[in-house]
Amino acid sequence: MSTTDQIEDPQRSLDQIPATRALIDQLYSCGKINRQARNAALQHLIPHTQWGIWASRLLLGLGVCLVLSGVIYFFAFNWAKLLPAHKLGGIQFAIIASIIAACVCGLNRLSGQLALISASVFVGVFLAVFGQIYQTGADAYQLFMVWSLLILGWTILSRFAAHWVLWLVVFNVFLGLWWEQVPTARSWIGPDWSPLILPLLACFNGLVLCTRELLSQRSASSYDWLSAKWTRWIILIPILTLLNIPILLLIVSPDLAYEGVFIGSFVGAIGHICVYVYYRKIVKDIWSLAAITISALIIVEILTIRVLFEILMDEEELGLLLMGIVTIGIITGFTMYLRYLTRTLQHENKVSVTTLPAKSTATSVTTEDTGPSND
Amino acid sequence: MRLKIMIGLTVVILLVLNYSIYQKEEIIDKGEIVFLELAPVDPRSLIQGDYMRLRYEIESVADEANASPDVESGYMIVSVNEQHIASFVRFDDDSPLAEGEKRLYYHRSYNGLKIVPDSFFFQEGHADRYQNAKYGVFKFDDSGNHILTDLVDEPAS
Repeated sequence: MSTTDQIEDPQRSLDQIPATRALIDQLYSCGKINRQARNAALQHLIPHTQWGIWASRLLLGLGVCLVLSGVIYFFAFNWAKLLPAHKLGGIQFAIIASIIAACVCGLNRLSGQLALISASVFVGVFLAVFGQIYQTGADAYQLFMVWSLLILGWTILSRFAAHWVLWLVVFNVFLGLWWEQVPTARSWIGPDWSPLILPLLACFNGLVLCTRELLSQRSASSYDWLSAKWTRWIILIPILTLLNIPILLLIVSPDLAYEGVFIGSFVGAIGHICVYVYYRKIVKDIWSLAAITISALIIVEILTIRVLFEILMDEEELGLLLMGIVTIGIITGFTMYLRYLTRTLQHENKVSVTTLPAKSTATSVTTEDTGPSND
Repeated sequence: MRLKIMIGLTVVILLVLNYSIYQKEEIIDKGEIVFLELAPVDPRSLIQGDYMRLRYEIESVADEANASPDVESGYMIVSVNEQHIASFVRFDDDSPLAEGEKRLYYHRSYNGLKIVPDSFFFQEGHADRYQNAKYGVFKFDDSGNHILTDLVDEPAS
């Protein structure tokens, strides 16, 4: 995040210049500070213990994932040899054990949070096993519906972004499967309407994103867990995908596009504009803007190729050559636009820094301790 | 406080889960055995391993019956013979059930009338045990709830 060149405005006073790794390196390379000063400053800015914390968190997360998938594979492999009581009893035991671990560790610690997430996963495992033992039918949406309902309480209680991600995934799968298995399969709606689920899911996740933006801007410390930026991207990128697909379907085969695709494309276009305006004008976030730009690039690219393909149907070689050239042109154009956006946002942020020192993307290294470590 | 709510929620969740087990076990314990003739096909489930997709003979019989009411879902009446094999009698018209008759829930989809469960789960790789199955083994309770417990080749109880 801090790798972009920073040419600081000489008029600003010292306390308004955000301390970043790039700045220290710049000072060192210009000979303003010596090696010890650079090391000391870096040690202060990025303590070496941070590495260990990062690694141990990564390992803890990986370990939980591996143990949970191990449990799932154990059940899958030994399915026929286990009695129903063993299967269901074992999973309930795992749920109780996870909850006890969460109680012991406390919900304010990462280990306690992960224990609670494990409990939520085990509820899903229980439902899958239950459905299999009692042959409740292949309408898998019921499983995901009950799962999302049962773990909603824990999720709200957890105040933990990863738990919400799990819940959102489960709930989105439920909505998608429900759409396919109830209104579509029971012919309440025609098959033409089945792509309508994409804009519907985009709207639902859009609401979630709005809630996230509203809550994370509150100064109350109870929503600190939402301020990490990855919680924005992890919702925004699926939304963009959902908005993008109907438009691509419309471009690729307009003859096969019916009501669902038309409505989806309309919502998609409006949605792209809304998120663009929001992240350009209200919350200035270059990473979100980059994602939106890439989504727009894909649409423009596919549209151009489609048009070229229609015009040059007979001249394959010329068509391919032109497609290559046009693709280079489009990608260059969008890259230049992104560079321009980055510069403009940096400028705007500098202006806002002079009035509101804490609100700058450049300070994110120092202010966002809970921020993403995977930049 | 959060821990107390969490423990409370856990108790509620465990109660819900165990009550659903109890309900199903009651039907298996006390229910009456009924065989439904099959016409199987076979894709896979999302997270539950392998399964056999099922079509029941009775679905097509009921579909062809003239008196099929124009509703999305409802009950049909089946009669069970001495070998416990079920056959279609009529769509439910609120008339009382005769000896050996049962209510069976169905719903309509674009490829005709359907009875749930329309699938049978088994461990991955065990498909050969079930590929020749001719009957679905059901347990019925008095109010028409039923559970598919097995697939068999012959209706021997």
